[in-house]
Amino acid sequence: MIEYFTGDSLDSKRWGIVTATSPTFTATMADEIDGGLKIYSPSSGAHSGCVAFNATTTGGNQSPMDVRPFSHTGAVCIFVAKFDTAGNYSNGDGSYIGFAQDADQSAGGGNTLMGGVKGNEVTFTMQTTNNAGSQTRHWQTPPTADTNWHVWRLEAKPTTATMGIDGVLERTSTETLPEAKMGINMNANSDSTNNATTYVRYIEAYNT
Amino acid sequence: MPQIKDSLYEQLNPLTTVAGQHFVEDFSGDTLDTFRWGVGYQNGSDNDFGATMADSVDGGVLLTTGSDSGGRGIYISTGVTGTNASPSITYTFSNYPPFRVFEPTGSTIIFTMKVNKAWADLSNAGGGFTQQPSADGAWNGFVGAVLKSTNTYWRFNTTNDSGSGTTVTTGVSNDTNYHNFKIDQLASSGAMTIDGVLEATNTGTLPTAKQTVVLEIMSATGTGVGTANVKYCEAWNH
Repeated sequence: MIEYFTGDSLDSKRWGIVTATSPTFTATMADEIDGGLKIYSPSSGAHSGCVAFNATTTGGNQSPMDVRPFSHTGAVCIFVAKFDTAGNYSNGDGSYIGFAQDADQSAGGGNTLMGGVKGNEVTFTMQTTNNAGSQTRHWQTPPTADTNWHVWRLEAKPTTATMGIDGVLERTSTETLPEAKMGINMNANSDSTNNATTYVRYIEAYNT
Repeated sequence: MPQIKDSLYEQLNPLTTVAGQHFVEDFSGDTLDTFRWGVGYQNGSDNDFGATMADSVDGGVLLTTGSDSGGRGIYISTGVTGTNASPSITYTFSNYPPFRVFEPTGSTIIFTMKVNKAWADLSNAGGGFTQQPSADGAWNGFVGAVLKSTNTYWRFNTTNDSGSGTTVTTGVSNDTNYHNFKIDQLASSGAMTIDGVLEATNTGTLPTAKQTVVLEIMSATGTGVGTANVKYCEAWNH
């Protein structure tokens, strides 16, 4: 799967926007050079949401998401994204992109391998979640969670999960690895006082 | 010996490079991808125009103008929403299209196009980067290939943000065959290659504001229907 996020609207035959009722969360094409898809989570209202392989709905989290073609024992996701200041995201959640079983607005649910920013953490985070929903987030070491564009590479293997940024392997985990097929999820959840914006201009995923 | 890699990204860039905005359009399928492309029309009142997938070998997308005597134009653009039929959609200097993601000081577009109408019967045809997609050539911030009724040869046109333009005439005439156009925008120059041969460069009247992609054809007044096929388009920021 290759998505360039170039055009006048999000391809709704591939992506759906999953939010709660009366959402303030939006996902639209950016009118900015190199802007791609703009995922916006304002500080007020129903501000969390995700873009996933799921029909658009305001019915809240969808578990599982509609389509999950990627293998938990052998798959790669490459994306080019930039995240907002970590403090603008919800402390318990944040903004994550990658493999997930569920179209979950806060990167919850089961069976995930995602990369992004955890609210208020100063380094980039890799998250893995197993079938029981037990979750591990790795953010304790650099690189610093800046607001620049980076290219990310996530890889799910039978006994490990990895996250690379700009060609450098940054995280490896053997804990709470995903145990079932997954789709793609890109989510954002701001805190209650700041707006948060995540941009994605390229995403590619394939089974190995 | 080429290296075989699993990911398309790594075919084009090392993972140590953060790639800019990029898209590839093959124009293959049953309908134009309207998530990516919007359609605009200009001048006239009949309903003959369209942007449809061609049922012909190597057909790609077929851009068809209207037939009335008013002179007709049709364009597709990544920066425009919808398939505006009537009234015509015209973007002015203060009314830019909603989505412009390309960098005028560092980007490239490649497209494969043929214009199926004699050059003398055209008002305008071509494609490239622009701030204001249209079919009549009244662009601000355009850098691209243009064919007009005043000259049999393809031209390399650049206009700045205010619409002042510079034209360089190439040695390639409109023979109604497919040609492969590559247009590079750099910080202080633009260049156009046709079928792999550098045909024109220009350093004057260059745009500075963000752009979108346009592909278009417009018949000259009273000349009837005109068509153009586009079977490939790719663009990226450096």
